[in-house]
Amino acid sequence: MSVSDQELISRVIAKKDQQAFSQLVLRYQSQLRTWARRLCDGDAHLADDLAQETFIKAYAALAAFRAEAKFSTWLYRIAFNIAANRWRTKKIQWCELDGNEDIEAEFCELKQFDAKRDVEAAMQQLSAAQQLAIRLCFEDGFSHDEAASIMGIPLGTLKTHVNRGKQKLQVLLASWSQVA
Amino acid sequence: MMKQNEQNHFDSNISGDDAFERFLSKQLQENQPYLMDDDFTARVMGGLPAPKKLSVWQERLIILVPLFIISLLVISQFSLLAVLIKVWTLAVSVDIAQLMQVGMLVSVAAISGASFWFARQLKLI
Repeated sequence: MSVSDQELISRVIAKKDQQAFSQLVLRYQSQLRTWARRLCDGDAHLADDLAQETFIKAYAALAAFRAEAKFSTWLYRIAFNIAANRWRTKKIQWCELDGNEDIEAEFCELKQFDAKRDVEAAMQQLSAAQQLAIRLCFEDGFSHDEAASIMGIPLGTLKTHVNRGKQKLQVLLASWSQVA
Repeated sequence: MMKQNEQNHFDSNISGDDAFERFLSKQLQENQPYLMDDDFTARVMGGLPAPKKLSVWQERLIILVPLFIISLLVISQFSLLAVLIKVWTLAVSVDIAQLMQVGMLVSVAAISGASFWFARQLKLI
């Protein structure tokens, strides 16, 4: 039986148990690195740096973690803040969509009857904020409240991003219903 | 065949908002790859601040300070004069023959202990 997040967190706080923290890192590394890649416009190297910094900051601030939120929500939020700070200082291209040839090439393959590829290509047509909001809610399964908290925006704004993004996707993916 | 099924699923449900959300979730979640650790965790752990260790002197102080305080408390419960008188009385009342007997017993015990230890070291026992 696996140990709960809360139990591992308590061990880290009480005994500075780095072994317990390594279990948390192992548990969330894939999820957080995927999130970091989205924040770093797909750059795996930058994303891993971002994820590593996120875990180190989380370790230092773990005593401040409140159990009302999910640990993953808290981690996502830290990563988002670090990315936003780097973006402000122009260290990384944060979710820039313009001029990305790979994405354009991928979009050229939209005509293939493959739902996953079509959805991914359609996602690239959304604004950065809409993509992040949609992915947090529909891919990572966070609630609107949690997603708003991660992105540091009001709930209403988050809902607007989600709804507008969803509307665009519905239009972009409408062709699916005509292909038989 | 699978694509056809997915397509049919989408065709039959695209009209509903909930159905579209389900479709979107399904496609996005299936797209999300699991990233292998590839020493990522080890790199994170290497970047953590080293756990603070106590110096040898701090460790000794942690043991010695309580020991000293407890000893003082115990000693404070006895009258020093009464203890000294008892020790003096015992020393005066001891018979020389008894004292030699005790000395011999201690010597025998020490020699036996040392012999036993040597025997163990030489793996004779």
